[in-house]
Amino acid sequence: MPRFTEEQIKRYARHIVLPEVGGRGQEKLLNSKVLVVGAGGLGSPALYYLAAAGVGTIGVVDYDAVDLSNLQRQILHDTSRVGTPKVESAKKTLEALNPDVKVITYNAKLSKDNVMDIIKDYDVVLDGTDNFPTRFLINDACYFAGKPLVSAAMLRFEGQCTVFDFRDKEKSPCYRCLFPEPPPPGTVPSCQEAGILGSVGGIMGSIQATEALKLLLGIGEPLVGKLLIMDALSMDFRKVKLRKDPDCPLCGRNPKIKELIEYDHSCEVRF
Amino acid sequence: MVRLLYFSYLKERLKKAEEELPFTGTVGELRKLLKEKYPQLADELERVRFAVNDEYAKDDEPIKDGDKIALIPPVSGG
Repeated sequence: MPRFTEEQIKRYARHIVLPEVGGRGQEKLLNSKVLVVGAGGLGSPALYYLAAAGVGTIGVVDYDAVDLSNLQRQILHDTSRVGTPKVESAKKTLEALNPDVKVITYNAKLSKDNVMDIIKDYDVVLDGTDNFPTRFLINDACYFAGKPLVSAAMLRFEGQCTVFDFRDKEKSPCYRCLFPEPPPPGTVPSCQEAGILGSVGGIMGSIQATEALKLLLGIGEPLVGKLLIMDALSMDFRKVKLRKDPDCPLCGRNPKIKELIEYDHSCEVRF
Repeated sequence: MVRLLYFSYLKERLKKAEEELPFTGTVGELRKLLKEKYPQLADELERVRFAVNDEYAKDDEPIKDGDKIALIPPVSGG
């Protein structure tokens, strides 16, 4: 029998009562480690739900400080934290929510020199970053390390989410099967330029947390090989089937990419 | 006729979420036709991914009358 404190039995009662989770599942979550890259619009709700769920160890990577313009959607942070590192703000909020959770902070920019070391101890990685170079770096690193990756992105009123389960590299497609190379800087608008409805981050980040919990618990059908596209204006959710691309430069039959690549982080121009 | 569904900034810049076109051929041929039709979006259309009847399709795959084609651009916002 799993051993919980009385407080834990109370805290996780609504999980434990679910046959798909139960005491055993809750114990699994408490022993799990999840890394979230980006404590922003997607990372905020994702981190909140992972911590509330009792994921025992949560890593947070972000090198930014809280800005007033973040608070319209980045609900982990508050007005008093403007100017402080996002990872510190995230740690305070999450540990106040659930003292069972150990939050490990990485106040650093992910690079090819640190990424493998950072991800190595985690069971699942969530990508909530705001730029293509980091998205490709995380994809490649998770592929090489054989870690499941829950990837989401958003713009204006729309969001996308998919799971690359690199525990089974033969089966799972990767980000490069979909987009082989990052688009040239300045050709795709960012949230800063094009805007984002704050609650869209709430939807997509919550979906990421849900997919991560499913992967940790081994329940349901994670979005592996499926890209979910959500349009908040029509509230349409569409799932597109993805396939592993035999010509993929990373996971295809004759891969060209055999080590981590760092792409140019130059600023994206305004539309 | 095929039905085209535009997403994200393609939808914004074309100012429409969908349209119908008479077309049969491959995904690559449709991409070329759309680049001619919307030269201002030629770069974006080069990078966009096509899903035919909700299944991701590469440029050499066929499109037939009645197909529903989603055009999915890469987005990076977080």
